Amino acid sequence: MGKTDVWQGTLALMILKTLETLGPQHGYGIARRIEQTSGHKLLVNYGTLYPALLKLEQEGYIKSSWGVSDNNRKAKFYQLTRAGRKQVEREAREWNETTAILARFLSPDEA
Amino acid sequence: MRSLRAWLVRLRAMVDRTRHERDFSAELEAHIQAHTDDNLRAGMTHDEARRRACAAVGGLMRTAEAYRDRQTLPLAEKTMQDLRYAMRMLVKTPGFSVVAIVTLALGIGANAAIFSLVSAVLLRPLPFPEPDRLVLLWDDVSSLGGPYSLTEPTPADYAEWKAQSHSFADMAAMTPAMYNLTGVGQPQKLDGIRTTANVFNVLGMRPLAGRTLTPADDRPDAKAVVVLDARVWQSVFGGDPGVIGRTILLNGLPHTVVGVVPSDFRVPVATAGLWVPARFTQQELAVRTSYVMDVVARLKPGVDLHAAQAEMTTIAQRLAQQFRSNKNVSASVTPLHEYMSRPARPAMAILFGAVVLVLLIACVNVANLLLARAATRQKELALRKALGAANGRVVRQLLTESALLAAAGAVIGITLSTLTFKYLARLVPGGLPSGIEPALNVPVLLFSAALTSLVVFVFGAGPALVASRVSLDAVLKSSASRLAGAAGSHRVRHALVVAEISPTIVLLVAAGLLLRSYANVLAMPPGFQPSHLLIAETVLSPSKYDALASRSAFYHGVLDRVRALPMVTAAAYVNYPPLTTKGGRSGYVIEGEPPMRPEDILRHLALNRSITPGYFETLGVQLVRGRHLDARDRDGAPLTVVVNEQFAATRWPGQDAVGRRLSIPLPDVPWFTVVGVVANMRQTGLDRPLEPEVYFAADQVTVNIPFMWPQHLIVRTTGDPLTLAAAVRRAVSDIDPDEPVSNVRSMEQVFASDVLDRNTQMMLVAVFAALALVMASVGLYGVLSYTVTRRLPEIGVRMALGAQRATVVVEIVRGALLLAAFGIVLGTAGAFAATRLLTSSLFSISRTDPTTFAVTGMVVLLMSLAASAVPAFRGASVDPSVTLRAD
Repeated sequence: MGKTDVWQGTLALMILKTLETLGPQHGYGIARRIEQTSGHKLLVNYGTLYPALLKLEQEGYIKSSWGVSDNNRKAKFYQLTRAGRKQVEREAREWNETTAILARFLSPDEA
Repeated sequence: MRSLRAWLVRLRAMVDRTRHERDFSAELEAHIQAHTDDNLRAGMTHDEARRRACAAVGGLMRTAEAYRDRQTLPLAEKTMQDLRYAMRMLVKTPGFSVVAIVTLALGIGANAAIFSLVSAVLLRPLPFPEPDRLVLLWDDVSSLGGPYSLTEPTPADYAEWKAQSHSFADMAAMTPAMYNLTGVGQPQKLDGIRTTANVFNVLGMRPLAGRTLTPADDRPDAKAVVVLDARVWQSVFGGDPGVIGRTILLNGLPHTVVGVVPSDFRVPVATAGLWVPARFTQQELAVRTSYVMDVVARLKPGVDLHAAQAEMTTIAQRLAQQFRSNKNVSASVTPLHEYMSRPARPAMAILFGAVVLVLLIACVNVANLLLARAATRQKELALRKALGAANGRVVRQLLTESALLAAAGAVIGITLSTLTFKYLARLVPGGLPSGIEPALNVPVLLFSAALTSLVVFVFGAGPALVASRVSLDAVLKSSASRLAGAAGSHRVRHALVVAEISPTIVLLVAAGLLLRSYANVLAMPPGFQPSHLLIAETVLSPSKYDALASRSAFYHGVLDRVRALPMVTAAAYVNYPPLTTKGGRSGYVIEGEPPMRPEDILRHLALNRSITPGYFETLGVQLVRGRHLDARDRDGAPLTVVVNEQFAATRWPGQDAVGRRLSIPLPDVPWFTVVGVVANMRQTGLDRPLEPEVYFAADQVTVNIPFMWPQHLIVRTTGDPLTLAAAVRRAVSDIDPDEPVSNVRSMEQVFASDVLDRNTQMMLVAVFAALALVMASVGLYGVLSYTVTRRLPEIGVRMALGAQRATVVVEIVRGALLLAAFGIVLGTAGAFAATRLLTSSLFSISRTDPTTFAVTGMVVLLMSLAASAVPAFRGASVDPSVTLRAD
């Protein structure tokens, strides 16, 4: 349970951040972007990507619409809503605080 | 809240989920396309590119499943699915559904209605503050060995208790009285109560208008006042608030109306419409030999019933030493509520028992039906499991079906009980104690709802659990397993049939015993000819008719006019004709016997009635010895009485009663000579024992006790007596226009009301028993049809091998009768125990009456035979070639 939550929470933040950086993007594009950004250290499980997108949309952080991709194919594009922008800020800040605290614990000879 | 928003979106998505699913398919397809394009660019072949893209999505089906779960609410979705499916199943098997729902509705509906009645009688508190502190006080005369254990106390006992006790915050005394109300429209007779002024304080009763009584009203020199009961206020004064302060004539004397009180307290007279200050005199309060007071008291805070009883017992012991009349007389403290509900308790207990049994049968029946259906659906369930349905999911499906059934049954049942409740409550008026008005109430509905849930759980989970144990291969495999059958579930179902038949026996026996009691009561010779008799009530007001001469003039005047009417063959006056009162007794002494000791009075009681000449001829009562009372027995002539055979037999056994003398041991009561003996009558009820009776000549009743003044006119007619009502009213008002005529009815109506409670109770129990019988037959039929269906292949094999049809029929019927026999044995044992409840309702029949038990057993056997006929012949008409090929 706990693991999934953390992963889902992290995935959600990655999706939001990706959309903030790239603007409107389709699901496949988001996945590729996350993989690229992580230096291919992360492999996005598409089976969880779409439920995560759906959840964000149901919560009102992103919205979707059908459009045409670079390859001239029909695709569903996601983009941030205003609530979503605030959420990115908030989550990013919390994440930074958490990692900063953790870093202090983990870095040697600090105490 | 974001999660709430998400939840709402998901809920909405359930509505047009196909559109959402198409949408997602398209998105997924676009995703794969995009990935394939990438792969192509990376130099893969087209097929390889596509395959890898699909693989990366992680199994299309699983992804779609995960997405769908997130898109809507899976739990609600599944419940909806289950409900839709359950609904389809119910509609597909209408016979089963109707029987199950009707069974439940009847069980729950009857339960809700009867439980309302029972709770109204037994559980509902009185509408007074701190009602559990209200008590009634009685003289306990059980150690005297007379017919009574508790009686109304004597005025002197009340006075002593009030002076000596410390357990009570206050104590009030009342005594019933009758009033003629004149000057407001037609003259009317009203029941009233003479009471000490503090009764309203003791009860905590607030006036609806005006005020209640104050101690000042109870002083002998105070202005005469009256408090009206709300019913009289409505019926006589139309609820007019202006009635306060108005002066009305009661028994010819002016009384000022000072207030109106609610009709909550109906002791000692349920119909009392007037409360008049008693102004008991010292003389009245010194009487030690007449038991006429009703005493109500409120316990002091902190004093419980036991403490009060202990104190009263001590006081009574002290009085017993001081006064001869109090010898062996104790005192008893009863909670008011217990007293008010007591008369209805046995009847309510019987009804409640019947309802519990019916509900039990209903539940067992539905459980049985569900179990049978679960069994016939084993194949379907096994198939669903084989296709991947989780065990829990299957159980849930079955539970949903049961819940749907129970909910439908409960809704219909509660609707039914709401609609029929009024009728039901009206059916049991005599059974309902005074002061208690029943209503279907919320706690009762909650009780029914709780019961329904319980029922759902029991018979929903039971079959579901049995069904979930079914192993896949056992069912899907060959017919060999079908021949063997699931022995366990068979036993359960047979036990259920027995569990239906046994309570049915109990109910049938109860109904049978009550029915025969009723018939026995109706067959009781009343001792007179009840047809073609008219009864009308005229209550002479004591102030106007206190002289014997004026009363005699009234009676003879009215009788002369009535006898002259067409269709009238005889007429007479009496204080109380048979079946109209349960009281009016005195202790009698016989001339020549040693003077009666005061403590023996209650053992020598006889009913006293006063009559005008022609009374026995009018009723059609046989003269056994001597002569009737006639015109010779006037004021001034030698004092005479007629007694009944019972009196003569108990007081002068083996001797001639005529010529003997008797009296009442009170000061100044002279001797009366017996001039005749008449046949016994059922005076106080058709089902009550015969009592000794003494008849006085109305023209010789000089005492100023209105009870002994004739107040019922009895007319024998040649046609329908009720057609004479108007003429009789005219005859009375010709003699005295202020004299009210009330309660005009035929003797047949009096009879009907005398046996009404018995009739009602019997009808209700009979209806329940019939219901039980029908449900048990349905249950038995269900089990047999199921068994036969399962055994069709076996029967087919045997018939192919030469078995006779008759053998098959006999075998199936024998199985049914065996089950029935089991149920009958158990039920008979149960009935032996349960009929104990009935004892007080039975009349000249033993509660273990062999005929009733035997007939009941026969009825159930016949029912079982009938229930097994259809399945048996279905089994026997099997075509072996068809059934054998079916597998």
